Amino acid sequence: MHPLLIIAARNLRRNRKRTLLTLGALVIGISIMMSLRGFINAVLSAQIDAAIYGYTGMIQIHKAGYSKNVLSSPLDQSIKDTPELRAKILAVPQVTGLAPRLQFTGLYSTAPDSQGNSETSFMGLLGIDPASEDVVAPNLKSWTTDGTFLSHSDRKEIVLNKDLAAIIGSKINLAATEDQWPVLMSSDVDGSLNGEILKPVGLLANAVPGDKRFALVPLETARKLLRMEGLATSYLLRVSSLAVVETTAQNLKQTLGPEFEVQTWEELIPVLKKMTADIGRIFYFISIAFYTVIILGIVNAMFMSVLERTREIGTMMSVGVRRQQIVLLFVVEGFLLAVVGAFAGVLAGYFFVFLMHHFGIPISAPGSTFKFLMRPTLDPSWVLANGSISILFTSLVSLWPAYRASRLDPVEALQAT
Amino acid sequence: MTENIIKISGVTRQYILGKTVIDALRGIDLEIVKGEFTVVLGPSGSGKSTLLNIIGCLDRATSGSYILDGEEIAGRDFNSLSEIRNRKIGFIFQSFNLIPVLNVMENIEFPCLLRKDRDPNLRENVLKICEEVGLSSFVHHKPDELSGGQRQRVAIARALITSPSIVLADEPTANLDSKTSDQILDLMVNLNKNHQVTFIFATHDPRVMDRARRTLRIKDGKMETNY
Ligand SMILES: Nc1ncnc2c1ncn2[C@@H]1O[C@H](COP(=O)(O)OP(=O)(O)OP(=O)(O)O)[C@@H](O)[C@H]1O
Ligand SMILES: [Mg+2]
Repeated sequence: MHPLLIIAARNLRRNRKRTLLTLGALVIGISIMMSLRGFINAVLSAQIDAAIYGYTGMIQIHKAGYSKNVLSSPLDQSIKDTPELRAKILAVPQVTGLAPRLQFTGLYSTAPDSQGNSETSFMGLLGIDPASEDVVAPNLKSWTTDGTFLSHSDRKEIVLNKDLAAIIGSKINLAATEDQWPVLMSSDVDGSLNGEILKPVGLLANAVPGDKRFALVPLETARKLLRMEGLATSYLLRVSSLAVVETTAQNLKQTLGPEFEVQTWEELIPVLKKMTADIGRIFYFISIAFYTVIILGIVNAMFMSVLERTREIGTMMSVGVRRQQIVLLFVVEGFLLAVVGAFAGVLAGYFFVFLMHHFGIPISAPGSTFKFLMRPTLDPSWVLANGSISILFTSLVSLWPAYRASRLDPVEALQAT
Repeated sequence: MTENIIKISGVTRQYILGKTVIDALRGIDLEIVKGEFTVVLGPSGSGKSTLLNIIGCLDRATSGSYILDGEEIAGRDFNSLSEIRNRKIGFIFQSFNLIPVLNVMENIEFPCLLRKDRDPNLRENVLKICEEVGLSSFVHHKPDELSGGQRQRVAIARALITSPSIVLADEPTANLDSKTSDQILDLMVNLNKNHQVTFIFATHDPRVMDRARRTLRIKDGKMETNY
């Protein structure tokens, strides 16, 4: 081994206190950044999970043109929910589940009170099959705060947004007898108004996206009301993992052709994608500030080392060490510190993230009864990039004290105490 | 055997400190023959170290000419001076100046390891020179495990391992007690005899005079006697 490498390595061992201090700064810095990143990843994926499994699903399929016309005439662009079509979709690789939905609007009217008055409100509705939803959006039912969720696809039931009560000005009585049950009225595809008496079985937290005038009804009940037997406005799909959503969506587009539109959760809720990007940017700036402080500490320690070893530098120059070799000596020291510090820091960071992952961080979605544990994770390529950048920057900044050492005048350096 | 290894003519060295100019050397003329043991004698501040540093290519003369081993030294850059120091100069300092993290053997071989062309017999030569300076049983010791006299022996061995044209010793015995000083002095005189190495020895200790074949007296940056 080259004697300058030996000297670099031994000097780190010789000045154990300063080496440990410098390493400590790197280890703490890297492991804190990793823990923070892991935590942020957990928060982000909790948001994404809440949206996907709680309402949106991973992929939605509509009739072509549905997204454009959903507000004016949602019922016109409906899918024929046939076993053949389902089979075709389920045959696409990675697709593991499917749930049909029927989105429509209606008038909700309370039963008349003793004075004969009733309250009426316009509202948005979703017809769902509870059993299928269990596969594609299993957390939807967790938004139930009072009573129960819909029990079966062809029951005459309704679950209403909790805050609807405030809008219609009367309390929704889940214990009401049949004569007090509300009526849901809606125009069918042909434009004629139909009505159905439904049992209010539960209330939903208002964390479901969209208007507060919102309710869920069983799919078959909705179909009957709308005279839309065998039809659906959307299919929600579950695929084997979030990682394959994009490729599966592409496969589905190919399989289904231009008659249908296929949208991923990212397209359906663009705000989540933007939030991920924004948080990424903020984190980036925090990292820069944080690493700057740590790296300045390391540079300071290296300047002290140069100062203490001035005479040694003069000695080396007197036996013929060149300026570039002096630079090399200190950069090698910085590099060795950086490599050891980065490795230890990554190990420590993984340890903390493992602990958080193992025990989980409990959170509950706002308004939901559904509590769960966030599990921080790290993207190995992010860790690799972060570790390499720490090594690169620490080595690069060590050029500064190294250069200063190499510019010392040999005679003056030899006279130093 | 009367080849001049060093030819210095009209060398000056000025230090400029703000508005004051210090003339450390005021026109030195000097020729040194190969294999000589020369003592430079002079009081403190007379310019001995300045002269040795210029001869050793650690410092540059303000003016004048300096020819070492047939090569003009003035006007060379740092790296070229490093090369000359490595190949032609051996230094022995008052405060030993060993590299603390290297052991005796590593300190001695260090100048040779900086070279691109490595001598395959280096380790052998190191052990031989260790024996010569009386360090055979200390080759694996670190400098802080040695006495002052032993450290200076390491420095002497390091200066000689490269077979330099000249060895410069700037008050090498000033940090040693008189008994050890005598031993170190004897050692250097013997090495000079056995290896035909040119020695220049700066001191203000007149006792050293008796051992020298040639004594130069320097005062206020000028040679008083030059024979
Ligand atoms: N870096 C410097 N800056 C300014 N003046 C200096 C510097 N180095 C040496 N001098 C001056 O040059 C003169 C000669 O100094 P030098 O060190 O060569 O003397 P010396 O004979 O070696 O003395 P000593 O016996 O004390 O070692 C002195 O007057 C000294 O103050
Ligand atoms: Mg001196």
